[in-house]
Order: sequence, then C-alpha cells, then structure tokens
Amino acid sequence: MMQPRNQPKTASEMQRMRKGRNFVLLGIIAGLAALFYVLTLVKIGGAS
Amino acid sequence: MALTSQQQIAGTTDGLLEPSVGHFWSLLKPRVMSLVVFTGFAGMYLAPVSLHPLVFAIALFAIAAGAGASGAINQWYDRDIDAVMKRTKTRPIPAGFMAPAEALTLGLVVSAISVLLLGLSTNWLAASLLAFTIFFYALVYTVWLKRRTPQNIVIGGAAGAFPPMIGWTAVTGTLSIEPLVLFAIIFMWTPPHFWALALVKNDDYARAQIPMLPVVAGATETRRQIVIYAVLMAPLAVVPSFIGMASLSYGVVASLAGAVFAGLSLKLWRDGSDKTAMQLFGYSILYLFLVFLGLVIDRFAAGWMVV
Repeated sequence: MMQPRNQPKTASEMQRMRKGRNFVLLGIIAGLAALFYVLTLVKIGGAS
Repeated sequence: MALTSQQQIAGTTDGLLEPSVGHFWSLLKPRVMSLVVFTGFAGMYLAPVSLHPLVFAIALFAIAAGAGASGAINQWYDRDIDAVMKRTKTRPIPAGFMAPAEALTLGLVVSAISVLLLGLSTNWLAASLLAFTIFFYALVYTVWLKRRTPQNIVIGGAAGAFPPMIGWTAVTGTLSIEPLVLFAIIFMWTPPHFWALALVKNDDYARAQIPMLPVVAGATETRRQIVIYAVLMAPLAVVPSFIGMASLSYGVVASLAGAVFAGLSLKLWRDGSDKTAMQLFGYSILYLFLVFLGLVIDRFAAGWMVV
C-alpha cells in the first residue's frame, strides 16, 4: 500500500504531482478515444 | 504567494493527503482484477467460436474495467469498516488520500465506460451481464448482504463467478451449459476460500462488526461448512470432462487438485489451526488457477492435435 512518504513537501512538488496525474488522465482519455476509433475500424471491416 | 510548508499544502487540499496515480489504481482492486482477467479470458478462450484478436482484447479489458469499477464503489461504501480493519485501513479513502465522492465518481464512470465498451465491441447480452455483475457486487453484496448475513460470501460470491460467463457470452452471444459450469465452479469455490481467510482474520471482522460465518457461528461450524463446500466443489470441477468441454486428462488433473482441496479442508476441520487455514487459503488460489489453466491448455492441445 501507498504510504504518506509519497507526500509532497513543497508547493512545487505538489503541483508537479498533480501535473503528473493530469497527464495520466489525458493519456487514458486519449487511449480510450483511440480504442473506440480502432474498434470502429475493426467492426466496419467486418470482424465479429 | 508561494506555498512552502506542509501545513500550507494541507490547507489547499481540504486536509486530504495528495493521492498518486497508484492510489487510484489500488481503488480498482488490481488483485481481484487479475483473477477476473484470468477467468474471463478462460471463458472467452473456451467458447466454440472465436473473435478478432483486437475485439477479444478490448472485451477482456472491458470485463476487467467493470470488475475494477465495482471494487471502487465497494471501497466507497465500505470506507467506515475499512478504517477499522487492519487488512484494509491503508486503502486510499480510510488512509485519507481521497474523498469518498472521488472514489464513487471513478467507480460510476468506469462502470459506464466498461459496459458501453463491451456492448459496442461484442454484444449487448454480454454488456448486460457485466452491468448486472457490477450491480450485484456493488449493491446486492456490498450494500445489502455484507453487513447483514453470514451468507454474504455465499450469495455475494456469484459476482466473482460471473466473469467466465460474461467472457463466453461476449464471444458466442448466447448462454449455454458450459459457462454455467464455469460459474458453478467459482461459486462453490468462493465460500471455502474466503472462510479460510476469515478464520484467521476473525478478530478483524468482529471489530468491524461484519457477520462473517466464524464471527456469527464460530470456528467449528465454519470448518464444517468449508468441508461441505469443498466436497461439493471438487466433483463440479470435473464436470467439463463429462459434457464434452474438456478431455479425460483434464478430468484427472481436476480430480487430483480437488482431492487435495478436500484433504486440506478435512485437515483444517480436524486441527483447526491458523496455519492450516492459511495453507487452505493459499492452495484455494492455486486450485482455481490450475482448474482454469487446465481447461485452457486442454482446449489449446485439442486444437493443436486437430491441426
């Protein structure tokens, strides 16, 4: 389990941590968009 | 104005600690997800027809995401008892890394995405089964059964037994006897698996006032019930050999593995030690892995021999 030792000690560390989380979220949303796009292509291509 | 001290940072986060991506990941119960991925994969692989590999992967991903989402909703609802139990007090909500509403939002959003993704990639019968599984785990088990009855694990175990059935349905679009057998194996496996752990963690469950069987009926009755379920489960795992789903070789392996399971249950019934309970708990995980891996290998070998 994650421990409090991962906590930011300064405001800049906190901002960096939040920025990191936002990029992960962006990656997930972009990944989902790509997934739906590829899925559409595969389904249009006739895959069951 | 620049923030520099820990107190000032805490003041900007409503007293919550700063969560990492790992905290959100742990909210999805990755260990449970790995079991769901494995049994869901087996259900998909054992189906008599096949899917495009990409659609197969997306469907499996959707089933895993649905399982993770129900885990997040479970942690949202159980945050009060999680805070009391040693085993769960370091989870993200009781440990103060996120607000309950964040966990609930994550659970609901991922639930919706997983059902939508499975429906669009395969069929809506499979998607409906996934939606029902999430509903069953999050509401029927977590909200209704868990805190009310010692049969919580028995009935709630159905939620964990659905993934191979969802996988099979995702591939075939229909339900038949084979996925029901897979369902029945996991359904009968769940009580002895969890009760073995509950025997050891009895104090933890009692402190949280969860009416697990050892808390309500005592250790002796729990050990007796474990033996009953183990003895009923072991032959069930051999059934695939008799309905044309697997070969006799699989049946022999499943019989031996089941005999060890029943033997360990009897040993626990006699000695009642924590050591044997943990042995049974550990072996039960290996057992389920062996049974489903056995089915997959058996199907793979059958296809290979035909070629």
